[in-house]
Amino acid sequence: MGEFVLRRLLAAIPVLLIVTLIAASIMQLVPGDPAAVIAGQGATDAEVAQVRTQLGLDRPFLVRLGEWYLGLVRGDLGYSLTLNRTVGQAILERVPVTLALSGIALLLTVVIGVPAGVLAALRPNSWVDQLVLTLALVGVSVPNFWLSLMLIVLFGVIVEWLPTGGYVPFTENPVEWARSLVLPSISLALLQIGLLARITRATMLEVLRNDYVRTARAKGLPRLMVVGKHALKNVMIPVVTVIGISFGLLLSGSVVIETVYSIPGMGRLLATAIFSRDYPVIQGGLLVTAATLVLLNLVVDLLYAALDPRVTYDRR
Amino acid sequence: MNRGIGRIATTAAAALALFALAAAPAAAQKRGGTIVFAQEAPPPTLDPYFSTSVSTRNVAMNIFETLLTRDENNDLIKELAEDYTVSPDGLTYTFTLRRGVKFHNGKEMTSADVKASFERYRRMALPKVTLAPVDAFETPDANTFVIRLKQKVPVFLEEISAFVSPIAILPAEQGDREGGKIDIIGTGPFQFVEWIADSHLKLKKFDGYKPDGRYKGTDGFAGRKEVLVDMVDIRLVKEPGTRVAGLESGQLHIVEDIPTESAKRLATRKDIVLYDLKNWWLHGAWVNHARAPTDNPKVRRAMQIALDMEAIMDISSDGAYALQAGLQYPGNPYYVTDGKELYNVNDPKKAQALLKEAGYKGEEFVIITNSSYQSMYKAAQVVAEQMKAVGFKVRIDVFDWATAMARRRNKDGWNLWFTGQGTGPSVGPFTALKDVVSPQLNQFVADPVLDKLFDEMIAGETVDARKASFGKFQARVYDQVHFLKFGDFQRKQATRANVKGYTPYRIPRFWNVSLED
Repeated sequence: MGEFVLRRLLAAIPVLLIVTLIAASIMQLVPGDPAAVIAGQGATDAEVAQVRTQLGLDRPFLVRLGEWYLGLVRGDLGYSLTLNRTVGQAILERVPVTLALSGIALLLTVVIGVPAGVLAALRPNSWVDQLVLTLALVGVSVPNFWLSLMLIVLFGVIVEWLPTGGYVPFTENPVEWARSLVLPSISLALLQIGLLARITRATMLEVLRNDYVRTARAKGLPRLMVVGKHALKNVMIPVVTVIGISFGLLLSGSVVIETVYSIPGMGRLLATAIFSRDYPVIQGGLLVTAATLVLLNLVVDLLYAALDPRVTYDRR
Repeated sequence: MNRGIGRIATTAAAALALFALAAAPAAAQKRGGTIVFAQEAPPPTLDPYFSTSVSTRNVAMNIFETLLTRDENNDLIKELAEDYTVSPDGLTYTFTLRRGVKFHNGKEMTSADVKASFERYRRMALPKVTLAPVDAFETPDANTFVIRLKQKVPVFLEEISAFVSPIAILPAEQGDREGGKIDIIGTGPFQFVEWIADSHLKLKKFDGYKPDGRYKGTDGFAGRKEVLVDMVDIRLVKEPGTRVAGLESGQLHIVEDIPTESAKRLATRKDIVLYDLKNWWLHGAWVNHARAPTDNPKVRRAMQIALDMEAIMDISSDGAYALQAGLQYPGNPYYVTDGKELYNVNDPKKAQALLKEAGYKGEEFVIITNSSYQSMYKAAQVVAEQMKAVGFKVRIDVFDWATAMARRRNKDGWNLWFTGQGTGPSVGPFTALKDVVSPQLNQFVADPVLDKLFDEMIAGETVDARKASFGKFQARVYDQVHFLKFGDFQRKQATRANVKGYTPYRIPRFWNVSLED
C-alpha cells in the first residue's frame, strides 16, 4: 500500500508540471495585458510600458516561465502582480476559506444526499420516492446564483437570522464563522445533493435486485441489517467516486458563490486573477488546485480498498 | 478691587462661553464604532503612485495626504503645505510645511520626506511626466521644500495637486521602493490595519492625527478632518444585490454604488438615506480616425448627428444621468459649452443624407464594448441599433475589460471603443481628453490643430486664458469627432440613517462621519 501511494505521488509530479505549462501557455494566447489593467484605463502607452518593465513582463515568456519553475523548486510560487503579496501568501489566506466552505458543503451533500437516495430506493414509486426525485431535480435545475440571492433576501434581510455576506475567520469568532458559511454552503451543496441523491437511489435499486440481498432477506435478516450491512457497502463504491468528483467540483467551482457572498476563497482568487491577467497567481492557483485533485483521487482509490476487500494495491 | 475681580470674572465667563460654543459641535457628535463600507472593486494596489484606479484612491486618500489637493469645487487647497510662494519668473515654488504632522509610525514629517516622495514619484509613478519640467528639489531646512523648474509651467500647481495618482507624502525610507511595494504609512486621519484581498480592508483611527485648524469642515480631499469612529471596515462586495441586501440588513453602513432600480425601492425606507453623486463620469466612446469608415469626416459627422443621447443614457444608466455637452462637469472652473450645437442633434434623416453624400458603401463598422461594465455594454447595444437605422452596417464585439483594453491598441480592429471618462474630467481640462492629443492618440491620427490648442491651453497664464483655449479645444473635439460623448453618468450612493456627516464625493470620505445609536 505504501509503495502504491508513493508511486501515485511521484506520477503526479509530471502531471502537475504539464498542467502548469498548459495553463501558462494558454494565458499567453489570451489577449489582455496585466500592465494595462494595473495602470488603469487612463494610463498612456508610455505609462503602461513603464509598469510592464517594472513588473518584469517585458522579458520573454520562456525566461519568466523558467524562473517560475526554478522558484517552484525552492517552494516559491512567485509574487502577485496585483495583490501586493507573494502568491503563496495569497493562496494560504484562501485555502482555509475554501476548505471550510467546500467541507461543510460536502458534509451537507453526504448527510442529506446519501440517506435521501437510500430512502427513495427503499420505497420505489412511493410519495417519498417522488418527493426525493422532485427535490433532486430542483437542486440540479435551480441556478445557484439566483438561489443565493433569494437566500440572502430571506435569511439576511427579511428575518435577519444570518449575515448577507462576508467571511469571519474561525480564529476571530467561531460562532460568526459558522454563521457566515451557512447560506453559502447550502447554495453550493444543493446541486451536489440532488446529484448524489439520484445516483445513490439508482445504485441502491440495482444492488437491492442482487441475489445475495434476496437471500439475506429470505433468511429472515432484519431489513435494516440487510440494507445497512450488506447492500450499502456495495452502493458506496460508485457513490464514493461521485463524492470525490463532487468535492473536486466544490473546491474548484465555487467562484459564483464566493462572488455573491463576498467570500475570499480560491475560486474568486483564480477568477479575479484571470480577469486581471495576474499570471503568477493563475499558475500558482492552478498548481494548488490540480495537486488537490490528484490527492483527492488518491484518497478515493484508497477508500475503494477499504470498502471492497477484493481491491488491493499491493504488488504480488 | 471689587471692580478688578468683576472684570476678571466677566472675562473668564466670556472665555468659557466662547470655549463651550467652539467645543459644542464636536461634543454633540457621537464618537466610536466601526463604519462598514462596501465597494465593488478590489484595489489593484494601495501604492497611490502605481495606480489610476478609483478603488485604490477610495482607500489611499483616507491614509495619505499631499502638499496641495482639490477642494469641493475642484480649486486648489493647501493640505500638508502651510503656504507656498511662486517666484516672479515662475521657475521656483517654495512650500512651507505644516509643523507637527506625524506619520503613522510616529515619525514627524519633514522636508526630507517630501523630497524623497517627489523623487520617488519622478522615478516611478505612472504619471511621472508631471514632474518632467523639474530641474531640482531642495530642502533648505526641515520645514521648507523648494521645486525648481527648467521652464515655466503655468499649470504646475494644478498638475501636482491632481488626484489621479496623487503625490502622497511618504516617509523618506520608502523612497527607493518599487511600485506597489511600499509600506502603507501616511499622514492621513486613518492608518492601515490589514488587507485581505477579495474580502476587506481595515483602517483604524490614527490617534496622532492633528486636524487642520485652518478649515472648518470637510472640503474636497482636504479641510478639517476629525475622526469620529474607531475603525473603517471596507468590504469588497462585487455583487450589487448583495450590497443592497447588506445595507437593508444593517450589516453595511455605507454603499458606494446602488443600482438605480434598487434605489427606487430603498427610497421608501426611513432607515436608509440615498444620495446622488452627480458627474461620476463622461459616458462615451473613442472614435478611430485610422480605420474605414470613420477615417471619413463626413461619416463621423453622420454618426454623431444620428444618435439620440437621451435614449442611450436612459437605458445604459437606468435613468441616473444628465445631458450636457461639456467635457468638464458643470460647476468646475473650466466648464464650457463650446461645440454644443453638435451634441445630441438626433437627426437620423440628416445623418442618412450625409452618409450617402460621404459615399458610404456599407463598410463594416466595428464597435468594441465590454461585459465588465454594464453601462458600456448597454450603451453599445443602443448605439448599434440607432446606427443601423440610418444605414450603417454594424458589428459589436464584446470582451472582458482586460481584452477590450488590449484590443483598443489595435488600430485596425475597431471604429468605436466604449468607455467612461471619470477622474480625468474631474481633475481638469488638461487630463479631460489628453488621450486624443499627441503622443497618446487614442484615435490613431494626430490632429495638429488639436495639439496646438492643447499646448496653448496649458501655457495660458491665467485661468481665464486657459478656459478660453479649452473652449476652442472642446469645439475642435466635437468638430472632428475625436470623442463621442453620450452624457454624464451619475451614481447612487446610500447610507444607513444612523450615519451622520457623510457627503458623497469622488472618494468615500470617512472623516467627520459618525455613527449614531
